[in-house]
Amino acid sequence: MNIEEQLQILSRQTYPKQVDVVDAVMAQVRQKPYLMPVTETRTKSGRTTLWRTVALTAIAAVAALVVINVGAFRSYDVEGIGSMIASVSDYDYYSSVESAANPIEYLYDEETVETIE
Amino acid sequence: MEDKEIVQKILAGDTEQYAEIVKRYQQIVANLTYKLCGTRLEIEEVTQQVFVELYMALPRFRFDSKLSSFIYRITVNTVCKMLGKSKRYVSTDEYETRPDEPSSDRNAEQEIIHREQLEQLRTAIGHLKDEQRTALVLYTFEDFSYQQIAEVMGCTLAKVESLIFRAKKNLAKEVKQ
Repeated sequence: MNIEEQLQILSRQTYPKQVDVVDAVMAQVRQKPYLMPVTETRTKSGRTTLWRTVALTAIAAVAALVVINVGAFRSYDVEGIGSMIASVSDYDYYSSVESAANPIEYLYDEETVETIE
Repeated sequence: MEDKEIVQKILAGDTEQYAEIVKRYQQIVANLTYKLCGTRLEIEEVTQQVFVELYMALPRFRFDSKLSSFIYRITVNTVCKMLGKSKRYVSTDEYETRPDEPSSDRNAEQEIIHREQLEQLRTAIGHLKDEQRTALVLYTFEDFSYQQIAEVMGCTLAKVESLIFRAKKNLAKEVKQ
């Protein structure tokens, strides 16, 4: 007997007992608060209502502005400080080499090596 | 009185009408629960919980679909939730052995093998993932169409198709072992 046939047999089996939970359920239901019908937020055609669209658009716009501003601040900060450090150190190093009487000797001079290190 | 009419009365404040809904659907819910989880959970306890959940969900019921579909969805969700909470592991012994259609063609030995096969299959169903088991049970045991299952489970037709395919494949694999 294959799986399909066995499933068919199982499908004919139902819960063997007759259940009666009416009283138990009603006892719990009576303790629950009064049910308020949910306000319809979608139109019959499935489109969201106007106020919801406007609210979502406003939230999205604010979120986008925050992200752009944070991004701009971060890039300014990092690049600004980074390039400043790079330019100062490059300037010091290259200006020393250029101003030396013999740049090759200067570069291989032990003192210079120590200083650079 | 039709289901929708009763629901409208309940939502208008006549909560006692809810007893009629429970009477109409309690056996259907119990049967579906039994097929979904065997005797791993107390069927009556789950049935009761389903109707409490259904009552609280009634304000969300959209009158353009059948109440029965809504009840199936709540049943499936409640069973999955309760199965998740109870960490019990399914074993063959926990399923009640019920005599199914006695066949005159089978002798005693064949009958035992037949029962064992069914028990093995039941255990294998219990081992399936929640989503696969739900789709399989609704399709095979409740004769739901793919469309109806997709509505109950809140997923696409393609996913339903794939869940049933994988469920059958896993069953076949486990039963063969």
